[in-house]
Amino acid sequence: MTTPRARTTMRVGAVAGAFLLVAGWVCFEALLVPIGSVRMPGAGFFPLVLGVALGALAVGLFGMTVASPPADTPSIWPERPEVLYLMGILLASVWLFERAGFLVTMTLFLAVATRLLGRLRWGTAVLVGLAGSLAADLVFGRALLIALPSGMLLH
Amino acid sequence: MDPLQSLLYGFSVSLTPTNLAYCALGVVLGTIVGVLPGIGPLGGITLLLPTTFGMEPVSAIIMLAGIYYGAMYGGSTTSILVNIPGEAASVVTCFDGYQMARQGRAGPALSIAALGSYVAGTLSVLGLMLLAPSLARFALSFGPPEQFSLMVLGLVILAYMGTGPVLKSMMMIVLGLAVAMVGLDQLSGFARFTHGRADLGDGVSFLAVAMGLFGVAEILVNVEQKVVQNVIKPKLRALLPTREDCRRSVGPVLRGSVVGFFIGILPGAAHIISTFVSYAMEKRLSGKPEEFGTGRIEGVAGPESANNAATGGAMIPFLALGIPSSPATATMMVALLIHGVKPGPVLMEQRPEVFWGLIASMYIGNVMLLILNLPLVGLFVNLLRVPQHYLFPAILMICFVGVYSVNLSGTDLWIMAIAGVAGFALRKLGFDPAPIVLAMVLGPMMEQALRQGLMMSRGEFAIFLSRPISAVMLSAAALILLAHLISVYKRALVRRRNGEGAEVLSVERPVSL
Repeated sequence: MTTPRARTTMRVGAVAGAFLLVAGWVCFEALLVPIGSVRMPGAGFFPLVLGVALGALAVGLFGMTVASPPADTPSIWPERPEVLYLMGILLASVWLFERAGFLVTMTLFLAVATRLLGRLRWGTAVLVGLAGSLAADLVFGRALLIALPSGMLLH
Repeated sequence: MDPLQSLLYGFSVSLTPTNLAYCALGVVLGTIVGVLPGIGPLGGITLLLPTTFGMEPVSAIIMLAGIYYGAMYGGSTTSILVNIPGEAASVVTCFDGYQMARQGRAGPALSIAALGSYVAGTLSVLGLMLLAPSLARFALSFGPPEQFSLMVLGLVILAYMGTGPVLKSMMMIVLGLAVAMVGLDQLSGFARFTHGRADLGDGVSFLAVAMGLFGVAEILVNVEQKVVQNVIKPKLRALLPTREDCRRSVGPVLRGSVVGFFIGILPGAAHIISTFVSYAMEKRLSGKPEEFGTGRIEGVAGPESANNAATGGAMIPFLALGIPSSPATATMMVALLIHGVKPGPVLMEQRPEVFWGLIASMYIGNVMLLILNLPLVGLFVNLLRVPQHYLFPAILMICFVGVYSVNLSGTDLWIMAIAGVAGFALRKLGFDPAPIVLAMVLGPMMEQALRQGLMMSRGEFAIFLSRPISAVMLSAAALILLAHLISVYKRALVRRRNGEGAEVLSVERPVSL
């Protein structure tokens, strides 16, 4: 059985590891373009410095945690499932936005989100979604002339 | 032109019907943003940024600044009536403001907060008007090495004075700088981090990242917390403070104004820190410190004045040096850059209507807020009754429209969604994502200054230390880091001696930034 401190160290280690991976990727990408020299720095010079700095800071974070383990650290996992569902709805809506268009996507998004967060009946939620998306289309699309996607269905 | 003439010119710009309307719209929207717990001034400015694209630059900046200081006013309403800060700078107002409301004195608390905010806001604009021109003249002598060193100092102070641990803030800064590197290199034209995608050639959309980190992530955090709001409805008949309330508030308001203004100039979470400093100062100066937290009017007057004065202070580095000191001013800078206006030492000469028009509009906006806020407090309180299951999806929908409208790009929506999820995760892990936004704005400028400095000196890093202003700034940055390392080492020693664990890495209850 792991102690809370060991668990914390593992969690911080995972976070530091993730940042190290990002740092490695930044360095790799920086090396794909000319680094230049100190006299004439190239496009990769500053990104390389940043990648190295991020890596050093990630190692520093892990080192400080090992040297002086914190009493507790929170989990990255949301405490309420609604957060995960909302993330899923959000990502699905982004995928749909240009394909199905603004009206369809936002009607679905508002209906599902209000149903999820407010425990509304499906009928009420769909009405809210429809009213909300139509009102938004009127304000942003017609009044402010923002070019919102019509999507394949209404195209 | 002397400052008075310039100010009169500014009034002639900001008193046009269009600019007056945008100023009024900005302060009302700002108040709403401040009142609603799900969204802070930065989120509000970011959400409304796309609506300014069709405006004149001066109208755009007048409206965005109105949102910024309007939100500071509005934040106090939720602190006093619901005990939930509408934005981070109003946390301290909860201590005594809510206690006053529970004692049936919500009216005086709200009116002193509004009056104090008005006085502080006006005084800070006066300070801005007097200090910014001299600083801009001084900054005209800055070359690339000085500019680079100034940005390094600014980012070090940002990390030191931020709301999270210094090491984590520095990681966020470097991450933000790295994100800013995506796209075509300004000097050589090489594409970096784009993987051949043409839509990333101009870089990662600032708006998409900011909207994700402060719009989407904020909603996710609020959904997780599921805050139950018990709103205390103020009796409007008892809105005016007593003579005794006014007498006791004069000192805290004036002190809060000075403290807020000067702390506001510093990078980082200045408007938040200024409220804590003001509260601590009032508690120390008070003859009855034990009564703080039980409903003392000084505990409302000081911090509320300080956070409003900080908005004026924060405008100084942004307008005079072209270097934003907070994520909110960074967003305003992006708005000006989109309009082809570059803030900095030459702004006053090249675009005096923007500089002086903004300053004059802040005087007018503060008067508008005072006139609007007190009579309309009942209306703003009713906004708190809008159920969150309607409010949050509606805000997310506005995020979609706002991000998509800029480039009509689905990629930007993906960036927003990813930044939102990442922002939520970062907050859960105790990272404050605010420095990412600021670093994204400073990144290209910093890179250019570093490379130009090195080219000037033919590769000698000594150029950054041989020029006096640059050397002073880099030494100050090094001293701050050294002082922090020593204090961390000492704390670790004490903890080890006492056999305790290190500080908890959890983040405090996140509030809108």
